[in-house]
Amino acid sequence: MSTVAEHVVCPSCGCLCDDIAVEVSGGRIVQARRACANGRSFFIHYDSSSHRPTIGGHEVDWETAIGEAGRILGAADSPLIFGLSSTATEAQRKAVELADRLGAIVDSTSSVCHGPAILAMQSVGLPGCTLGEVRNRADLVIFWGCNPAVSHPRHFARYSLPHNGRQDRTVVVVDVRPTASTRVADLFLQIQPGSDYEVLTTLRALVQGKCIAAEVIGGVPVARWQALAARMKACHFGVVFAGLGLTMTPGRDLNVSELVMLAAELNASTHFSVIPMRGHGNVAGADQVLTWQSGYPFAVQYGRGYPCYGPGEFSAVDVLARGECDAALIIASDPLAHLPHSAAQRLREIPTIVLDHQPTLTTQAAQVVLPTACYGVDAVGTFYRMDGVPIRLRAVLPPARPSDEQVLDRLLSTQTTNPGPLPPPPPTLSTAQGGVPPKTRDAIAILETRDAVAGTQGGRWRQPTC
Amino acid sequence: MNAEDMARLGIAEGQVVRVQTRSGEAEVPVRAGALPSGVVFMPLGPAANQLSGADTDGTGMPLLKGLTVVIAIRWQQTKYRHEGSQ
Repeated sequence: MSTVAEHVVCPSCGCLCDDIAVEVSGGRIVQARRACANGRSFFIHYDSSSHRPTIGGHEVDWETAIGEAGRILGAADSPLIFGLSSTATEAQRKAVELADRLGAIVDSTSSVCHGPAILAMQSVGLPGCTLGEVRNRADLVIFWGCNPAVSHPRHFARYSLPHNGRQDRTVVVVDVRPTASTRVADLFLQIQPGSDYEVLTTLRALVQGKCIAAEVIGGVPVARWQALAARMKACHFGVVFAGLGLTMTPGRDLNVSELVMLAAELNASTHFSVIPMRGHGNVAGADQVLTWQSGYPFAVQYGRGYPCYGPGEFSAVDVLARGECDAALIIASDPLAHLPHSAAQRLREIPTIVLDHQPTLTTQAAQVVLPTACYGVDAVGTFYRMDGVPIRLRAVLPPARPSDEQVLDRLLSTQTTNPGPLPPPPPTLSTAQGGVPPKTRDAIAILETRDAVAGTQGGRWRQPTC
Repeated sequence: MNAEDMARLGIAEGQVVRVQTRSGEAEVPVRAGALPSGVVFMPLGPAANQLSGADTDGTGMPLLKGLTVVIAIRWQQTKYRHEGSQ
């Protein structure tokens, strides 16, 4: 006998399609109607059986595995917690709490996908909107450096092609090569690799009414850029979906900054938005949770007893490549399949604990593997869609394994001691003995530090004259 | 790889070539694809990871696309630009 669950959310990509009909028979998912090829494969090939944890490839019971994982993390001087993009916000919150307790570095896969887009947002803001607004209002949709026909197959059908939503919509694709997405676009602009920044700067100039002396920019005649700029200014509601073609190429965050500023300037005459094409199901949620827990979206270090932000310093690739971590806890991601070889090599050398619902390259090399349930299939949790809308995922199968949140909670219980903040300051005289109150002392210390910094630059801090 | 480039360089469909960057190298089979001349494409994965360096220029993001690569075909060497996938 089979049962069908309607309106199931597919967690396989940042679209989080919430109209899937999942048919369950004999304890397995046998059909996922309305899902794309990626989503259907995700549901149908999911193995919900009760796997046991392993240590060094040998099966052990959960108590032993949790104990060993806790021992590894507790013994590490600088553990790294990485991944988080395919787990629920509830588990992400536990992971951040664990990082705080361990004094660890915590980073999500954002740092190797849309981290530069986040840096751009922090620099110049982001005129955003929801996918519902795109579906119902947008008359100009631009995909820049992305191939949603492969990475987000239902994006077209649900939100961005003319046959859904507005009928008068124009779809433009800007990319360095023809793809499946360029075939369905009304207009394809093929630019030279690495010319995104130059092209976006040109578009900003054209939107501002400036003249361009060059005849060709990025391998495309300027007349075509003029036509696109005119179309962007004339539309009623435009949106650009920014892909990894902007963030993974030279320029990185500067490419996205130019795009965001272009959209911001277009808002002087029309309505224009930018949405990063987030890949993994809840990578956007990782940014949200880390920001509300620590104040920073990724690459956060708790080693000083308080969160420190450092893309390029505390981001996973940098930390691994420089050998600055001595243990790793990988949650719901596969860094060995995606990180540069020098970073991946370091991950192979240090003791690694992995929480994942499926075997991966990283689980094969891990010291401790903790097989967990999958959110949206046999665990309940909250994911954030690529446009920042939180969506509740429900379970369609009974759980046979603990969730990431439950396992992280158990790991937290193994770390009872908090390394605590910085060492206490040296003893000083009390006020009665001629000393100064602590707050005043701190203020003096700050001023002295400023003096020292200013002194090295050939100047000094002065009192205000007014 | 661009089909005309393959013909010009004498690379057959399925032939294994060595792709090199300043960070590493990988041996992969070649397929003809709809690509501009001078551009090659590799899907992300363990082979492509051999080619990318870990320098993130202070952003946390290594360059995973837009790398300049050298394709070694027996005794010949030709410079190409690599464009990875997401």
